[in-house]
Amino acid sequence: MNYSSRRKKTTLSIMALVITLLHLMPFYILITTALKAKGDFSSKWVFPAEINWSNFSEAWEKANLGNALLNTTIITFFAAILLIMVGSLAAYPLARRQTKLNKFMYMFFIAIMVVPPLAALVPLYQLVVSIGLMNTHEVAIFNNVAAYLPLTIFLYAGFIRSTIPKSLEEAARIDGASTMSIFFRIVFPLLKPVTASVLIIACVFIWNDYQFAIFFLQDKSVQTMTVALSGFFGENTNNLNLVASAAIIAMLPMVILFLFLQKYFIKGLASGSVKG
Amino acid sequence: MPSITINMVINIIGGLKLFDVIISLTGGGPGNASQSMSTFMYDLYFSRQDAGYAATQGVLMMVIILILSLSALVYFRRKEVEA
Repeated sequence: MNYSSRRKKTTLSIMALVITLLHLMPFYILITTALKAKGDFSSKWVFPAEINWSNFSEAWEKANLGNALLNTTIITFFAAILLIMVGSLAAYPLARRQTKLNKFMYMFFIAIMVVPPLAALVPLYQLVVSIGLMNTHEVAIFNNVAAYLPLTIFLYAGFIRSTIPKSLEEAARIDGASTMSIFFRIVFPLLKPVTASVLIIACVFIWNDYQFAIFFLQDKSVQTMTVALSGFFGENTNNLNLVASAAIIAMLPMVILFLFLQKYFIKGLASGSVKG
Repeated sequence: MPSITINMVINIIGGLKLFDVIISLTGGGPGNASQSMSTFMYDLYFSRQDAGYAATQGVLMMVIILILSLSALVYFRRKEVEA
């Protein structure tokens, strides 16, 4: 390695470090704020002298976070399962059978990704009211599935086209497997890495979804995490320590899921289908 | 370069349909100063109860985003070929 490229590399690492620090700063402030008692007015940069865990339990009770956590978990779980099932089943023929109709459908799905989901708000809202799905979990699940299905199909189709060898499917076909059993027994297990990335993307987006939740889940009993949090923020602007604790509780599940899947994701990418 | 193109286009789309940050921080105010297209539509429909205007705003938002993101895509693609 010569001198100039080494210097370039050092500059790049320093830049990356600065950017990372900038991104981590809000989290540091969030954590220090969450751990301070209400009367503690020390600077937000200082770590609290006395760690105060009671903020978490108080925020949990006051903001009704248990209920919100349950609602968000139900919505995210079912929406992610539906997305993976429907998305992979739709992407398989779109990637494998290149007929004119399939090419058109694929382009159509890509085009839908550009359309902001909110552009359809008015007709969607009127439809939801007229079929009586307001304030139910189902409406949030279906909305989120519809909103992220194009992205899921795009990821699955790209992966199937580029990494899954056709010969595997042909071999299974010769052994007498039906199309459905080829898909579920051979193709779907090989899709694990892309399933992990779909799961990460979909879960994070759906967990943090605010726009659909604020329109369709206005009732307190079906409130999601984000709506409960913003309501709690409005009520407690004079006690931000509580709000910070609630925010940490709200983001923790996704952080854990991400860390867990990240490891799995890299492992899945490294092992190919033909090798093993 | 292709990654710059994709990131630019995704960020343009994301910025144009920005919603939750504005609603939770300023609510579009003071006045209409920090309204984005999405929050403006939300305001039209839920506060002013004007479904027709809001629906039109939705269609217009889609058209604007489509034009801007497509032109950005074409522009950056052209740069890619030159480089």
